[in-house]
Amino acid sequence: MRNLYSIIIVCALIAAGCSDLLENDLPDNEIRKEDAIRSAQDMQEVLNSAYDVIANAFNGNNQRFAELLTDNVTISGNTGFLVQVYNRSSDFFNSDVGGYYKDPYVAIGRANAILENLNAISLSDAEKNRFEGEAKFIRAMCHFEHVRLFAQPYGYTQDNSHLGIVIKTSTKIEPRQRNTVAEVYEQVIKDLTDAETLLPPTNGVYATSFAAKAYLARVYFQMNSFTNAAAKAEEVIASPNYVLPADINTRFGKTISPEAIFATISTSANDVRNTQFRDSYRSVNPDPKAGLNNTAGIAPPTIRSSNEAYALLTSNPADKRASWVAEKPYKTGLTKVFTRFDSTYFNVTHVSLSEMLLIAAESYGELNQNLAAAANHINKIKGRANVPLLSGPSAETVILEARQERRKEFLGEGNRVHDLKRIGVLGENVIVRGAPWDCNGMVLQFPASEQSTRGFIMNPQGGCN
Amino acid sequence: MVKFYPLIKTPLCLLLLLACFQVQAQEVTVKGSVVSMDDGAPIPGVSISLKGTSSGTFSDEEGKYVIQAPADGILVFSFIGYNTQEIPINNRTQVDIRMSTDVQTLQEVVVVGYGTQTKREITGSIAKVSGDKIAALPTTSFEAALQGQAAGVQVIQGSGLSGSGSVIRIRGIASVSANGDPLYVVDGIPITADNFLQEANWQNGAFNNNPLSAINPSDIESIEILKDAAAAGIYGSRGSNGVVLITTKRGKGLTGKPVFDFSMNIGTSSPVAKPKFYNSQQWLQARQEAWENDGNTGAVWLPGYSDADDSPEARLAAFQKASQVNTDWWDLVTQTGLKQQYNLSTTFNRKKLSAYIGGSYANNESYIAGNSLQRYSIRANIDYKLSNKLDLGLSTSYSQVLNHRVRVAYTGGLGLAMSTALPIYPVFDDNGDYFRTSTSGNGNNPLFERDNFQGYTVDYRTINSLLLRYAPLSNLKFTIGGSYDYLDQKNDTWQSALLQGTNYNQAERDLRYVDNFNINALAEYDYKMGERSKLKLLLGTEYQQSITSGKDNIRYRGLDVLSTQYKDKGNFSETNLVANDVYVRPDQKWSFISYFLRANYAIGEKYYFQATGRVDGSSRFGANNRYGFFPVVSGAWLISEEDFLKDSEVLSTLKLKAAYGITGNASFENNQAIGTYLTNPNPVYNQRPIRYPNKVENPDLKWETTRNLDLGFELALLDDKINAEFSYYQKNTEDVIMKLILPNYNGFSDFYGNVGEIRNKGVELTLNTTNFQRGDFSWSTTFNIAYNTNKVLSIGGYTPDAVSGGTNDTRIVEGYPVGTNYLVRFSHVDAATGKPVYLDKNGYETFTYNEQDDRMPVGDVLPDAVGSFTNTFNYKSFDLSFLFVFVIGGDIYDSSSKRQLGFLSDWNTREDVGDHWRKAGDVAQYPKLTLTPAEHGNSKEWFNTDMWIHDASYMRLRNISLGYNLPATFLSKFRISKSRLSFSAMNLLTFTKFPGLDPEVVRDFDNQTDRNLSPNITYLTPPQEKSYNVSLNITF
Repeated sequence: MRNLYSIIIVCALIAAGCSDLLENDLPDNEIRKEDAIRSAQDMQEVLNSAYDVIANAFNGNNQRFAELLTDNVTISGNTGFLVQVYNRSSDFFNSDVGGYYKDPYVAIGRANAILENLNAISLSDAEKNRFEGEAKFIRAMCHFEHVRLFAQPYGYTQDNSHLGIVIKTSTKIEPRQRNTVAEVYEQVIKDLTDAETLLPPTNGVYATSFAAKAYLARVYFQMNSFTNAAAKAEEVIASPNYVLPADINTRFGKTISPEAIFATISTSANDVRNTQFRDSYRSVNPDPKAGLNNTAGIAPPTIRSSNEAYALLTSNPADKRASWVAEKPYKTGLTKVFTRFDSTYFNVTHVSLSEMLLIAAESYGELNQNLAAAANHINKIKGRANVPLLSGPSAETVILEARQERRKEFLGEGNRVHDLKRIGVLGENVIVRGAPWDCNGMVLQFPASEQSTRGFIMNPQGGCN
Repeated sequence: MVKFYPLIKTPLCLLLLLACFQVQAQEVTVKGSVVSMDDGAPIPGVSISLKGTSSGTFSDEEGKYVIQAPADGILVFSFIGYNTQEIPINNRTQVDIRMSTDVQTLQEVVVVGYGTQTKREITGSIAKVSGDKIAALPTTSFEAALQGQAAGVQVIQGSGLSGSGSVIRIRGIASVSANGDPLYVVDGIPITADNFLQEANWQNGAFNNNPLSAINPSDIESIEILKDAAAAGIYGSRGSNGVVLITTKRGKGLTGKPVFDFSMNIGTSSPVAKPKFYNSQQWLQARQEAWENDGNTGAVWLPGYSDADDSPEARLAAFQKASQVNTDWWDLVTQTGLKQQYNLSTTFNRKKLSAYIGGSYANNESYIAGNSLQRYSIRANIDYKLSNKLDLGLSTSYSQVLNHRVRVAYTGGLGLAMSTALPIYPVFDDNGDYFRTSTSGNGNNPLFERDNFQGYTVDYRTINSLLLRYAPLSNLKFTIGGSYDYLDQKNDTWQSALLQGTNYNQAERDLRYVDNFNINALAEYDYKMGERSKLKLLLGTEYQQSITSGKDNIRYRGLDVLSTQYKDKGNFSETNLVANDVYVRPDQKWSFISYFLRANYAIGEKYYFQATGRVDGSSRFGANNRYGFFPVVSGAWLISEEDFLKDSEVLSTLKLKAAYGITGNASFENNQAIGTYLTNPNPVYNQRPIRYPNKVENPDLKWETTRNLDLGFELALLDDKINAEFSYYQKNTEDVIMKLILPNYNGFSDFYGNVGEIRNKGVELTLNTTNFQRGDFSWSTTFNIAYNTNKVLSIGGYTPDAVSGGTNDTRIVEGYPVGTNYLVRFSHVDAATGKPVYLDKNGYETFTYNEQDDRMPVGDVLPDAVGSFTNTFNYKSFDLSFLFVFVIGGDIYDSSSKRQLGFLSDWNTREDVGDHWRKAGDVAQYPKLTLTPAEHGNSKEWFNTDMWIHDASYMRLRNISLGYNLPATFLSKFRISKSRLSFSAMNLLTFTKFPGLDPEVVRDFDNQTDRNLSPNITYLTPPQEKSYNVSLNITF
């Protein structure tokens, strides 16, 4: 038996030194969560990763789903995930929508990771404010753009108690229910208001106090809260940081537009952050050897211009924006297409001075005040586009003209569906391609993943036919 | 069956009486030979004694003997492993006998975890399959030959592709995202058996690699399958799916001259079934009908010929051109494959050294042209006695497997022939070039693809172990062992510029290296406690570590790259290498550290108790659950040894068994317990580096815990002529590991958690009978059947959408079995409109297909029962056997039929779609033909309804073989001691109601969850192969 005892002793000794044998080294590019944010540099890298996600989620992906719900576009074929969206019948297995849905929440998760670590590392006050401001800006932007696509709009119910999206303000993994639209807007405004004070007025390509103000203007405008919307828009308009360039194409150009208040950037053909804009709308031949204008042998782009949008832009040939659409020959015949997004790579402007001018103008129209200023704002846009200017318009004309300029100016950028819904909320009779603005399919469906835990309520289906 | 049994043995007392009377009889010289009933081979070393005396002799190397005995004496022939026979001399001088193997004897040695036990002392449920049964079936990989060999062991063969692996389930399935396969242990070493070493299945041509195919089935001495907790408990956290112990041949125990064995097998391969598709005329007609149903006029547009937007004249011209063609792509892609295997081995035992050395070559072509698996293997198992107390065992094997792959299923090849390679497509176009519907990709021409694609998986594998055994006392033994299992797997593809639609050819390689180390130390101690009681103790510790490293995307490009890297390496210049693409994979490392104990306590030869316990720590477990403890207690009672039954003439053995204990499963994805960030120091967004959360931490992550209750009995009647074994088990598995889809608002897609609870309950029955035995003729039957019920008791707070079985829509649904088909219900075809009528979740009829609201559990992939029966007839030197396997219950989801039978798109159409709606009032099985999914109530072309679910029951003649043992007298002229020639056919007949190709389905799996949830889902899956074989075995 003595041998047995010695074996036991040896085993015990081995056991004592064995725990290390179960530890695995991580690959060089992987680091334990608790060691991941130790310095301002680390935090900056996390923040940059959140922008990285935004740059991909809003590379045309968000914008094309929004545009597909409108009368601006048509789509080819009778099958496919984008056709589902266009037919206002997106379902929970729509992997195009599902693939997009996750991204803003990934950015929110990274923003939350920053916010939760602000006090865990030593930062100067300026650094801390900037990190907090940028994180909150990102969180607000993502919640806001999500609630606009995946829920009925603000004002759909009187008290906005209808279901919105899940608000995430922590990194905790837990089952959640959808918050109401009122709660989501409250959170978005709170984050943006915080960001507005925390952020510096200039911040490289990243979010600034003006970006927060511009988003606040957009949020208030979406709420038909015109006084607030105009006020925030005017704060941005008053800034010398942003000027309206003569060129109508700079918002999707290779350098940051002088009118861009917040943009995500593509730095080269190897760093493309406009992929879905390009791949969904591109009207030219992508093969450089074939020649850009040699389109007769290729298929037309997935998303094309509707006759209505084409007519709107081309009715006045002097309008510079008429060049944003074209009718070109393709393998399947002549097709009306968009030409704004043909470059291989370009920056994507998310909020611009043009939008601020039109928000302020339309708001003044709705409020029936400052109509001269409103006309002046609209005329900046009209003048640049080379179309006849307004003079001494009525409030009604201001509203009408501001809306028309918005539709033209932001064609393909995904704004129109939100405008249609906003106007629908105001009580106007809005019918989009034969269906009311608030039918079920005008809201995108959540992916199946969201109902992996019990109790999550999906959007109702159908009802747009 | 019992009634056939003749009483050939005279009662013992009568014999004794006879002996007493005949004591003074005349002495004669009796000569004769002893051969085996199984194969007619001589048996050396058989003890031949004169009954009632101490005199006797042994048979020599040729099985011959000479003995002096009274002319009316009785000779007793006995040899371990064979039934003892008593033969009266009856004045003869020549007595030749044939001895039958005594497989049921309680003294039979059975391999168990970390040792051996006799059948008598085993308290658990272990199925032993001898090596010759494995070798008798000409399967490429040994695990496929286990089908039907043991009750409760379900083997689904992995399609007719060369090199595809089988799915094995022991007593049901209790895993979802952890590996549901048993643990494979070769000579004590848990080996690498990962089907998912290579990630991209579509690149592999849509099937999972099978690392087990590197093992030569001819090297296997026996396979023991540990089924219950008592048997598998010693493997602790790795035992709950059962354990397959593979023991290779050794030289030990042999006496005399070296023995050489040569065997060869030559066979053919053809598919068990061919799909029945519409020919060109029928297909065009159906499509035209669909087009007109949709309200169109003129000729329908045809994929590859015309577009919907084309002018009516252009469409008509295309239609007429297509009508001239009628290609049977299936026939062009398939062939009659040739299979060949050769083995040569030797065993010897000289003084201190004994050895088994074997080499083999196999080349198995499948019925798909271009697909084959080639294996070279060599094994040397050497034992050396250093001293009386110390000996050394070395086992080493090396094999090289070359799997020549083709694309199948959704990746092309035969899959194209079953889907989008239409009969209206010619092989060659008007210019004599391959016809293609597009200028890049395969263009729906499998022959073009075959010429422009090459695929190889090349495995180099070596499994080695070194054991040192030290026995300082006769009852005390120490063993120290170390092993190294190395697998080098190269996955090579080559695609031409034409196929890729690029201006270069490309040879790509993905590399994997698996280093699997194991060291262990055992101490065994036997202690006699008084007269009747014995205590056996085993104490051990083990450490195992496995590291998988590799590289992906090693790509060589250029017009001068003319073949794969395997075929053509050296001919590419390094300038062809796309250095930036090469991805060095992070190492996948896992380790286990274990301590275990087994105590066996026996009272008399009647009562047996066993307790096992194992402590396992694993790198996979979270910080809060680093070590798990797995105890099992069991007992057996040999009632037949009790006085009141001891002398029964009917009952030879009755043993009751019971076990209770905990086992685990720890085979799941590595590094899932810790939360991590990924860093990317390269310029990413705005040309600056990034770091970001990568994985959710779960410090509680641990093994799956199974509480096992096993009850059973073994019964032998009428001198072992009837053997029965019955088991009942209940396995409650908690903490089931699931890769859970997280709601995306969490910012992560998924994580691994211990959330589920699954119960398996079942009964198993094995019945072996010798139905008839007289003279040169015998007939025996083996039969086994196992019923299992499987139920998911809980999935925490999750829903059926939390775990996805890949693209197959099998789900985990509370209250239903693992792998439940979760689909919209189809009711009937509306006679008025021809539209399909679905049922909503409340059972109301609807024309709208609504996956989101109306999916229901409508079927499940698990069978109710599996089993087999074999009949073996022996007559003189001939033997004939039939092995039938059967599956009762369960469902098949024939996923590809939703395109082949439903919505008419650009797919081949099955003939049975003929029964479809054509005009108002028609009562038809299938809805009206259409090209518009909305006409079938859907917004997309993919329909998953229970219309494609079918009963999976089948019975298959798995193997029929006729063997002939050449006469020893003839063979001795060539110095051959035995030789057997046999003809066999595999998968010759299948009986099933399944209307698809083949009811035995393992498709390629995306991942472990898919493998657990989605057997029995077909998607252009190649059918099993049917083969005819000729085999020759020679021993000299």
